[in-house]
Amino acid sequence: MMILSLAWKNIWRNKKRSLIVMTSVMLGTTAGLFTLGLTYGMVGEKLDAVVYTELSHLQIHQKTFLRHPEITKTLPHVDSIMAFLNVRAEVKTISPHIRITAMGSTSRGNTSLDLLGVDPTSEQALSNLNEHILPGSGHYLNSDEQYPILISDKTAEQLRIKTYTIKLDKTPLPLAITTKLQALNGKRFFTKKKFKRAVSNVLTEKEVSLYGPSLTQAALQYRHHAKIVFTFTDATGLLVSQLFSVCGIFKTDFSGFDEGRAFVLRKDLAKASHLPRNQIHEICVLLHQAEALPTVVQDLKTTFPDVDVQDWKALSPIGEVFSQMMGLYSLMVMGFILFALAFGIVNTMLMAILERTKELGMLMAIGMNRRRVFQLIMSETIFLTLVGAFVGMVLGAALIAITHHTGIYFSSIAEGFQEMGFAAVVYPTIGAQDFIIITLLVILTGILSAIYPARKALKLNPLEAIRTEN
Amino acid sequence: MTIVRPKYKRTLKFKSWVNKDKKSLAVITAPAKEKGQSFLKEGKNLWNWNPTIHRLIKLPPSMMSQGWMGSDISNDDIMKEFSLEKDYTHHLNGEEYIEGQKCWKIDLMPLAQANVVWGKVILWISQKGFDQMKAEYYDEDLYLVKTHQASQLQKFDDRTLPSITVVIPAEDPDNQTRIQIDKMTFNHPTKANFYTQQNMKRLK
Amino acid sequence: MRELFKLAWRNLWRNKHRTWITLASIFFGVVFSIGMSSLTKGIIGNLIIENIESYSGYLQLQNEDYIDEPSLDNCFTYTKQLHKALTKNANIRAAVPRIETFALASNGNRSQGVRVTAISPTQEKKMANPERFLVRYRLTQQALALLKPLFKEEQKRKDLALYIDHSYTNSQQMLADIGLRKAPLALQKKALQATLFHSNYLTEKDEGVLVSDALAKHLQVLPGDSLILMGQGYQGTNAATLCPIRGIIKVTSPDLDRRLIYIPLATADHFLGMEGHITSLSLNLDHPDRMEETKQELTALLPQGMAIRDWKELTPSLSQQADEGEGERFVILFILYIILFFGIIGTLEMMISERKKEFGMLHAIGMRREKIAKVFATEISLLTLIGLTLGALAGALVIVIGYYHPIPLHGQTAQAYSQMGYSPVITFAWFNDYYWHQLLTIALMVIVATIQPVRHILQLDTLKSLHS
Repeated sequence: MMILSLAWKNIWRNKKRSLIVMTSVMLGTTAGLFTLGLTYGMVGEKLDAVVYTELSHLQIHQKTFLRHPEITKTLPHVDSIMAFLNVRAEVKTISPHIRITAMGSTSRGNTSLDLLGVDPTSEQALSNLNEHILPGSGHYLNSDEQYPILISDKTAEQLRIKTYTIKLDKTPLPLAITTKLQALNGKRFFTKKKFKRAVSNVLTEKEVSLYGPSLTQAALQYRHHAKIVFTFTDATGLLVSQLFSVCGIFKTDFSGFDEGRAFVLRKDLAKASHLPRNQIHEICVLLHQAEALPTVVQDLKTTFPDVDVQDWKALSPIGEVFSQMMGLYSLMVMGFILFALAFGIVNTMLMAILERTKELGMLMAIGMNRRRVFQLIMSETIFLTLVGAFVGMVLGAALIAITHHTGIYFSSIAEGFQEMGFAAVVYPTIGAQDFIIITLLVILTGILSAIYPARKALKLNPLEAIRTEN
Repeated sequence: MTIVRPKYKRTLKFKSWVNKDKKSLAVITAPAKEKGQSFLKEGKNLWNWNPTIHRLIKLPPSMMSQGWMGSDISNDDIMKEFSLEKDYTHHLNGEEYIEGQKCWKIDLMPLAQANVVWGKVILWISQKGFDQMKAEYYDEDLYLVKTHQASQLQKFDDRTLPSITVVIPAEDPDNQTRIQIDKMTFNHPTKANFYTQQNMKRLK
Repeated sequence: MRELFKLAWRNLWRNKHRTWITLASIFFGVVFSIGMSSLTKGIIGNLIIENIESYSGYLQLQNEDYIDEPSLDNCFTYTKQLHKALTKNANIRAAVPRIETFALASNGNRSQGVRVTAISPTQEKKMANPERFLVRYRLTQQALALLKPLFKEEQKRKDLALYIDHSYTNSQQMLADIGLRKAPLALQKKALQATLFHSNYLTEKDEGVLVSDALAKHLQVLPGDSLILMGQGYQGTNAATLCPIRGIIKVTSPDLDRRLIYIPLATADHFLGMEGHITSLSLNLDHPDRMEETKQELTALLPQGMAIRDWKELTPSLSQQADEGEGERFVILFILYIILFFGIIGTLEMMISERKKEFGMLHAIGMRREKIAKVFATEISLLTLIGLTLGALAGALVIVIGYYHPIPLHGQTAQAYSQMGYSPVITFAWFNDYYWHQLLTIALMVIVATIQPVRHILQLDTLKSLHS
């Protein structure tokens, strides 16, 4: 006990030294926690997006539908499957879809994509796509509207629904610039390239890089209620066309997802494609807890062996790869940080021992045995580590909490007309378990690091030590 | 048909037959590389026979918006030739002279649920021969997308018709498609099984 | 000058422990920051590099309009002179010509929109190397029937059914799936024989094509069958051809696997009416870090109407990933720097407080404060120099070892990597600017850390220090 109180007093005797060690430990802890939080933030977001925006937890299709989608490959025993899912407590939302590959045309462009016929109520409970609707571009599907369609920003571009019109009265620019752009006022451009070219012809390169982005932003417009005619093969094998009117434009972080999909009302698509009543191509299921996924998937497979049941990991293997990668990455980084920390502590403590040679020598001379000296050094280090770790924990938690709220922006700005390069926002997050593990690891590192200096202290010869001149 | 592009110009020659039931058949006669290819429009389907590979295919939806033989006239345009009648309201909007012909100017506005991409179409129909002398196609915001311009009236068989039609996209005036009729006959008798897939393979 | 040096040197060797400890903190600072930079760059960088080197290449020669409008009409002529001029550049490792377009592939009444890539089969081995993805084993119904008797347990026979119709490019994966990975060689041999699938690569003048696995299954074609390809050719002509299938390849991206066709350039030229033009020439470099320079050098050689595009322009999503990786790396490196900085400060602070008495004495016997500070600064400078040099060497060693002996991955992670077509290893990145940046940063750190101690010396209170 006396050792402990002595150790404690020693620490506060030389504030500077102690502060330095404590700060190192604190930094190590905070750094470790923050790194983990950052990594989890990045991965978590990506994976969250895959589940909550794109795929949901699991999807059910006719056996060969995914490999080669065809309108006639509708899901068998839909009613039994729905009934089965409805009684399962783990299931949060079920959303049935009709899925048809179609060719969409407008007066100026065309593109091929999957039309997804959904029920707005269940779909909005399943996916947070409505949070990705660009402000000012409209709204989510509404059952009361006539053949509405929700398309992506990419699709809007391909169909030339995304236009650029210079409206000088609505854009604050220096007089010199507005004079130069006067000739283009009110002119509408259907592609970004043509817009760029026209503006580059009247402005200098410098002006373009200064005003380009804001000009592009102000000129951007989506044609409201734009008409798109979709052509596809219906359930009877005939080529049919159907007009849809754009009700809103969405944009997620996955341009692949965006490009290939558009959302319409299920009843509209069923009517246009002449699908028999209540026939659908896929059921998407969202669970309350991700942990229940394997069980639910297994049960579905056993009960309905002739349909295809896939969880999001199988549907999007890249997500799984990514999270594995990130896990590895953070492990490596943590390793490095702990190593560096250990190193810093060893070094600092060694210096401290060196500095206290006389003091320690004296202690040994007045009778403190070597074992006690060892315990003393160890206790000091442990205390320092604990205090440092505690403060580090608090700081780390605070840092993560703050950045979780504000977000950290990774953005790269490109020249001229390009939009704000890509602003990825990361919201660091950390679970209680990891929090504790990191803190324990740091403390362990501190303790292990103390062993070497403590042993060094043991090797001091008391007589020599007292006479040390340093 | 001459297809004009900023970097090249290409000319095709073909023969086509249309009957009153709106079935039509066309066969390419030049250049040598494309010769022998035929197209059959029947009901809602467009078929293509290619002698090089000896295959008959039904054009899938993904090919509908492509230009026919690479021109500015899409396969879809060909299929929807008669949509101008049933999918629009028609309103007479005065008279104008096109190529020396006195024409009625007719505004066509699409019906609410019509499956058409246009916001408005204006047709100039000659009062003398009821020929379409000019057509303008507008998008929903009433910006001009393309113009079909007819000219060079000529006598074909027992009628006088414009022999040249040019399709000009408004955004890219360097791109054009020009169709010139060399010869045309009417009330030409055809055999019973003329508009069939089998016949496509035999056409020359 | 020399006097300072002598004094400093003596001081350093007077108390070896102190010297070693300080040296160590600088040394490890350098090694850690180099090591971590290399590792983190390696983990993400290599995935991107593998991607670039196996498909688009670092640079691509294209018609200047192609990037905005990737149609066959925006092609260019690749003349022998141009080839000579380009390949003279020392940085070019491979120059692979291609034509890319879309077409409709059909067999009977089954058809599918496909991406057609026309390649030079021999040249392409240096880049995408489709040969390595040829399907060599397939678990067809017949194969399964032959395999069943090899298993004694009923359960294992049932499990076989799970893998029906799976295609494999190598025997290891196939044997692993059916559970014969550790089986005796004789048994393995039988399994390999039963599932053998005949796929051949293409030759330069071949009229045949390679079809991706999922596509072949959809169109129900096998090597030896014929496939129709139809689409728009050069200048809008109708392109159509009937070609025999030489082999099936299993592409790693499931999306691409459903619609990829490889055809030799000579045959494509005729099919599409390309008249000898190509749409892209992909270039792989020996020194990717000199990409910008090489891009400029090559651009100067180009005739009118052509341009060199780099991989960032060609695959912006990959470029985004790279940027994201850089951003993250930087944050983490920054954190490491803070830890190292405190380590160094700690060591220096200790050194000062330990030698307070010594400095006091020097001052008392007449040495001016500024001189003491100078000697001290010289000591630190010497230590830094030694520390940096040793650290640089050790760091270099870490890089070399890490690069040539990458850390292998296991289990799920390894599987996930292989599935995406990446080698399941962690490689350290090779030398680059970052190496010097680390040395500079650590040197800077030491300089900054020295400021406070030097100030202490300059403000030395002689009496206090003598009595410490």
